[in-house]
Amino acid sequence: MSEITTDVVKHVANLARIDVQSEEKAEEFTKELDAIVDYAKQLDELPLSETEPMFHALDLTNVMREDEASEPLSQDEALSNSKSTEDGQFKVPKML
Amino acid sequence: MHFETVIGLEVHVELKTESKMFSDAPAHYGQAPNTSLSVVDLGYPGTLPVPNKEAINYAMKAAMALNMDIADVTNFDRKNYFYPDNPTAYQISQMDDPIGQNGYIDIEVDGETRRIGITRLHLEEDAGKSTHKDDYSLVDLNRQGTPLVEIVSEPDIRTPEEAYKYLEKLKAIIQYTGVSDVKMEEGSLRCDANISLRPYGQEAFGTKAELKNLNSFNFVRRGLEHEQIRQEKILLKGGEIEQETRRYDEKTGETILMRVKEGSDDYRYFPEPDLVGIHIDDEWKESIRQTIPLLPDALKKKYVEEYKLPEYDAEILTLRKETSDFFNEMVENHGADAKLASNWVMGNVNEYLNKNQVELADVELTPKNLTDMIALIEDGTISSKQAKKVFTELVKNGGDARKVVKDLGMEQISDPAVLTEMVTEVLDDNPQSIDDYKNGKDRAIGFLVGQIMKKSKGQANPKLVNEILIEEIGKR
Repeated sequence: MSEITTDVVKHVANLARIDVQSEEKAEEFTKELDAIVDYAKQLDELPLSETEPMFHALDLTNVMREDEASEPLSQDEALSNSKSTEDGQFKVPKML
Repeated sequence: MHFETVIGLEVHVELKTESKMFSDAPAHYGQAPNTSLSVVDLGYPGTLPVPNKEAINYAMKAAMALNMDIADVTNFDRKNYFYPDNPTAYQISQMDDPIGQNGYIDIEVDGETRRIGITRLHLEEDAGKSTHKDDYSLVDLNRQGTPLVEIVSEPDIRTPEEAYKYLEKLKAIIQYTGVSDVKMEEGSLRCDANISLRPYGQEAFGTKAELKNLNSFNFVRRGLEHEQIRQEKILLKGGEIEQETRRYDEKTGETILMRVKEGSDDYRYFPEPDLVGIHIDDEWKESIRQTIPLLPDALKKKYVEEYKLPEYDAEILTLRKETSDFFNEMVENHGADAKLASNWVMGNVNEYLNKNQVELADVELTPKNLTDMIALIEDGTISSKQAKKVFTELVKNGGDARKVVKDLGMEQISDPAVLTEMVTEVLDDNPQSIDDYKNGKDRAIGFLVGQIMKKSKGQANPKLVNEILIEEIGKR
């Protein structure tokens, strides 16, 4: 068995704002995630001590842009997908 | 204090680039809400971040100025959290491979130099700004994506005063590098403080509290002062400090509980999959090192050794780049005497700026006209008392110092012919005083000088008047 338990699943789901609080759902995901982790563990069986770690799947480095600003979106465009706005700002439920 | 205070500071500095960290939207302060955005900043599906090379240059420059080791390979990580001021629901930051590590700055406290270690400097993106109303909040995302460096000190700071000095020095160094405006009032410099107490001699740290909402260096100092007393009281009563985040209240000067921290924050960092690594070779590092100007410590040394200024003067002059730039120009380009220039810049100039809450750039005074004015005092054209009026005029309306002196009608009369004529007239009008003087009443001279000054409307050169007067009396 791996380290995935229903408590871990509930905790991570809560952090990710996904509703997995019912036992039934939590157990279902635990089983699935456990299988995925076990699958990945096959890597442990390979002789990789001599292999350089990769930081990215792409063999690229130093992809950058020059510091030049383009025309930004207009305020209307920026707010166009918002359900609620006020004074040119996004209106959201009370924070804090 | 019955305990030793241990303080560490986290400072965020916004970099002064044209565009954002990962998008090509403009990164300028003070725009109308939500008008400096691109689809990348708004976290739209299908968009990808591309790092701003200049932001990396700036971060490197700041790290070098803080005596740090620069990474050969630096990577970005994703810090996950949900908050309405960040539409991507994560912040691109750096965890394991920050740009700079292992630096320090030296501060002066009570005449002694203390070295404060700097653990790391990493690059990240800023979030938007929210305003809280009664039952909802408003979000302006303009700041989202602005390049930001976080500078984390070692827990080497022992007093609130040292914390203040550290911030002052850090701000000055960053300002000299030119990578940020470092204006706390505009949010381009922000500070959080960690503070704990421990018995003297104990190595292990006590439980720390994190202070937020510290909106000026003075509030940092006062907040820490209050917090160390609060913690001391609890410990002396045998209580325990909770690991918590506290907010500094500017009105009461107290720290108020915001939230208790349970374990470390769970941000689930992982390597940012949308970005590839940055390799910084020696050539790149060297090209940035070349751009670092003389920093405050080096400049201070120059002032003391070359210009023979007192340590104190040198310290004050190098706190802000605009001050030392102004002073340098006076001395180097206009030939001002270093000590006289320093006296004026530290004295009347700073006093005026503080009193009116303005900066050098906001006033009409220039290194040239202040140097000229000092020269006019030195050659006796104006008295130091008159100089105060000239100074006020130069600060407010600018112009050529000599012309201002003329326009104000305060040029000293130093022409011997003109003065002799005045002296003769006054002597003719006051034969009694001449007799008094000849009979040994020296104060008669004072009366006569007074009459001459009155006649010249205060513009006669007093030293010359005295000389000519004695000479003319002698002739009678």
